[in-house]
Amino acid sequence: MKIPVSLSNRHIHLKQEDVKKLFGKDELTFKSDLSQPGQYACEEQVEIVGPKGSIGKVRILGPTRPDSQVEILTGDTFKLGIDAPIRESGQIEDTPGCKLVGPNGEVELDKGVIVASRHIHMSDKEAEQLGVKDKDVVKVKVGGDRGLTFDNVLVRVSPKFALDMHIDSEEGNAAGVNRKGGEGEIVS
Amino acid sequence: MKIAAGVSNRHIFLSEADTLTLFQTLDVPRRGRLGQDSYYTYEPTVDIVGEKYTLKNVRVIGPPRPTTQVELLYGDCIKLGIEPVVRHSADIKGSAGGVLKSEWGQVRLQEGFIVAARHIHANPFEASKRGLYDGQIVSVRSGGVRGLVFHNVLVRVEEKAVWALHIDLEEGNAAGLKNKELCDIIL
Repeated sequence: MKIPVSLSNRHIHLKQEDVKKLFGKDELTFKSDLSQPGQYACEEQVEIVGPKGSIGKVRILGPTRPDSQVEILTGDTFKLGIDAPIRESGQIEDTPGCKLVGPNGEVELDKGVIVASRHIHMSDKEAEQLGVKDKDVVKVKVGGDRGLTFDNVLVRVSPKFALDMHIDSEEGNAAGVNRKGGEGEIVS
Repeated sequence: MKIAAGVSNRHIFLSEADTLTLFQTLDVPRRGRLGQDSYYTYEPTVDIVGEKYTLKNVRVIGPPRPTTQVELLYGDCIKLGIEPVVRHSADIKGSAGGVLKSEWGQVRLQEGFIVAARHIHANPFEASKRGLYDGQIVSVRSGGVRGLVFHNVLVRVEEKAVWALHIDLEEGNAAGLKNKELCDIIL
């Protein structure tokens, strides 16, 4: 069974009060749907500022979350001078922070900057078909002339999820997966 | 079988003619030696000017080659608005072209913009010691949290080569692999 592979560029999830501080309003503006039901890209963008540099026009994803979280690329960690660890989304204890600059104001995060770890979203039914369960760690092979096999891919099962593997754009570029997405296969 | 990674950012090799156009001399001030002993970087850099985007301050590697070749990252091609073609060095037929610009001049290339294919450098002694041969395709495993296996890695046996796995910066970042870190060749 083939698994669709989607690429994420650097992006930010915000908590409600940070939306207010950065944009001076309560609601984010819907731009387009993402692969997971209910998740969407917003029109809003901010600048990430670190001790060594900054990166502008970084996309906000909605809806808001309990904690703000900044997902950057490994290459960005050098540009920004922020030594962000590889983490699963939501696991931001003991991670570095950064400054976010929006059109209405700034937010100083004391934690939340991570490089997202590879994972596959799937429904219970898809997990059963693939013979895996929530929190399994699998290998996924992507073909082509830049073919490679990703180790340490976390399986995340929820009735709310749609089958999709998420890697960041550097991982996608390393595997020659184009922007429209690719496909992979779980291997042993 | 262990091998150290050599991680490359985007870079350019220039022909003599293009070196003269861009730098006005063949005796370009040098900056530092590279992992492969006979190569070095130049002090001045070049901008790659695309229709949609300009990549600034791109490193140039000497000595000059018969043909100019621009080795881009996959993501650079997307920013520049050109098709990323993964090729081995010198195999540039039908690849995209573009404009290189320096403080002193500019050249327009019809082709030569490639994404470098992964490869292993070995000299004949190193290769035979390990049972590897020129043109062989192997896989290479890198460990750690971002562990992965690179497939389709070409072995290139050349007289003066220094034993190393060459990958680009995005491949290095995807694997959480830094320059000179060790990987395992899987036959």
